[in-house]
Amino acid sequence: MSASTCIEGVGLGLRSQHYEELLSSRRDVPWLEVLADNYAHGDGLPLRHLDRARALYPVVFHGVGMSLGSTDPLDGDYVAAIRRLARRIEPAWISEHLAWVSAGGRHHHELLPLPFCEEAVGTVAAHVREVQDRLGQRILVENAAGYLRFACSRMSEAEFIAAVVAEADCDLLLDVSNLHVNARNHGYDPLVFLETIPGDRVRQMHLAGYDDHGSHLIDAHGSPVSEATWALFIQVQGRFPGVPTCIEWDRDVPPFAVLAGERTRAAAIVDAAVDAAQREACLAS
Amino acid sequence: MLRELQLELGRAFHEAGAAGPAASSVLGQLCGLGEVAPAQTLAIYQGSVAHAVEKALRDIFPVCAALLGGDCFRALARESARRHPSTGPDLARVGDSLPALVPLLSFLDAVPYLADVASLELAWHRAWTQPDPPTAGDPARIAEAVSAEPHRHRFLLPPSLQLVASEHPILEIWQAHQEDCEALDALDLGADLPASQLVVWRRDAELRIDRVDTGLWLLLESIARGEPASALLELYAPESRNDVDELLQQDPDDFAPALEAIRSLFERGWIVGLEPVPGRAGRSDQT
Ligand SMILES: [Fe+2]
Repeated sequence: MSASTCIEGVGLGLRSQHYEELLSSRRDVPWLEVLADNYAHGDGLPLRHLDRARALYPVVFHGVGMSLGSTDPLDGDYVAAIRRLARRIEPAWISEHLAWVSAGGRHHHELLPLPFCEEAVGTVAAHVREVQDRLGQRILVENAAGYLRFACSRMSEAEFIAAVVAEADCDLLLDVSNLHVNARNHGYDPLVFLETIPGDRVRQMHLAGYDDHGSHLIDAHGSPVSEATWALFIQVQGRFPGVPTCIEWDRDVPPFAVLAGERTRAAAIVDAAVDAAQREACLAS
Repeated sequence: MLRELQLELGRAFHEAGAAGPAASSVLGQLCGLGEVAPAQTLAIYQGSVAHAVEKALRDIFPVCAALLGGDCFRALARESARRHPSTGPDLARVGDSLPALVPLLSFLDAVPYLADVASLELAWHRAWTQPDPPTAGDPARIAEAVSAEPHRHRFLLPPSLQLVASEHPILEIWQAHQEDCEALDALDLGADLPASQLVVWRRDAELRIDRVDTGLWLLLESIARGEPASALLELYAPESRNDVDELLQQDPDDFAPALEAIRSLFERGWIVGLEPVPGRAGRSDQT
């Protein structure tokens, strides 16, 4: 059985606030998503916690520092650190964002948006290919929330993603909350987005809360998943049934029980989507 | 074109508002987001980029943040990001230059102990992520090697161990904030509280701060500077500072207190091994 087949159902993003609950014994959580950046640069206690997590759960890596969309060269030390960590922990897969974080050697520590144009497709795809070569495996790229709209954009976000996936031969992490936030902010139809991206490459999904500023939404990861996102998630799972999903919560991390409740709700949606797909397959045969 | 756009945006994110040179130049390349004007969309990132650094610094320096309060700490974080732009992906490193920055900022003059508290918090933060020490060597073998060839060997501290000195009672200030923020008010900083010679380190999963006396402090400083074991023995040598090898042969008993101090450092886990002094031919085994 390959590592990736262990990743099923709805997992949780591992946060230090929940080490006690999650790492003292195995909980009713099928897998964990680990923010690799928190463990790749150091040693010591964080790595001990991660070893413990890995002993109890299957794990996937998620990253924020690769800066795939940057016009700077790829940071070889960073990729090497992720690779070292991956050798130790053996995650089922590694994901990163369709964004840039640094340029001209300066790091902004924020996922920054790209214009949707051929040049950006080429820049991202070249970096994804290079990362995949260095890691020796395909990675997943995630649709990021973006609040800038560039005059030089020549395609939709979904067309941009499809072009990157085709050129880089990578997989996709579909953040359903980001899809909702971007669709609202940029005024597009999320269902058209879903029809445009290469659905067979979607290997993982994210759910998280956002802040509603009235005129716009901000992907803040500091609140429960909104009802609007849950509704979209039902549609997304209807289209891509059973794709493993992770709940992300980074700001004002709540007690574990709150996160577990979000997980249970998401798991019921995923199970229902899988059941429906199986029923449909039976009827068709 | 993408290159210029990213460099200009990168500058604009660190300006305040839309009037800065980079912001005004980049605004022409942005469209609004529904009802949100381009300048406002840029402000979203100006806010989030500043917040990312401030949040990271707040996580590393919670006591400094509590001492200064929200606005003042935010001003410190902004100044830190302006003077020391981040050049690496590791957000945990953004605080590295903060203790040295504090004394340069006149708006922090009212908190004379802040830089030292920042040093203590940075040491605490680093102790988390430093690797475990190698398995400790055999103290008897080490003592033998040191006595035989003190110039050729130097001691190894655990990777997590850091020394923090201050003329202010920074340990008391730090402790007051661990237990209860109100406890700081009860701490009379004008009173005759002790200066601080502190060892910050990690033993297994436990982070510790220990106060040490001046004798131990001098030994640890010498080791931390990478000086050979003979330098430690000299600290204890009888008045004449002649060649320690010679002194050891003449009257090894003179060094009993030094060897005793070194043994106690071993027992505490503050010496974890011995290595040859680089550039000197000696025994190459790590004991
Ligand atoms: Fe996400």
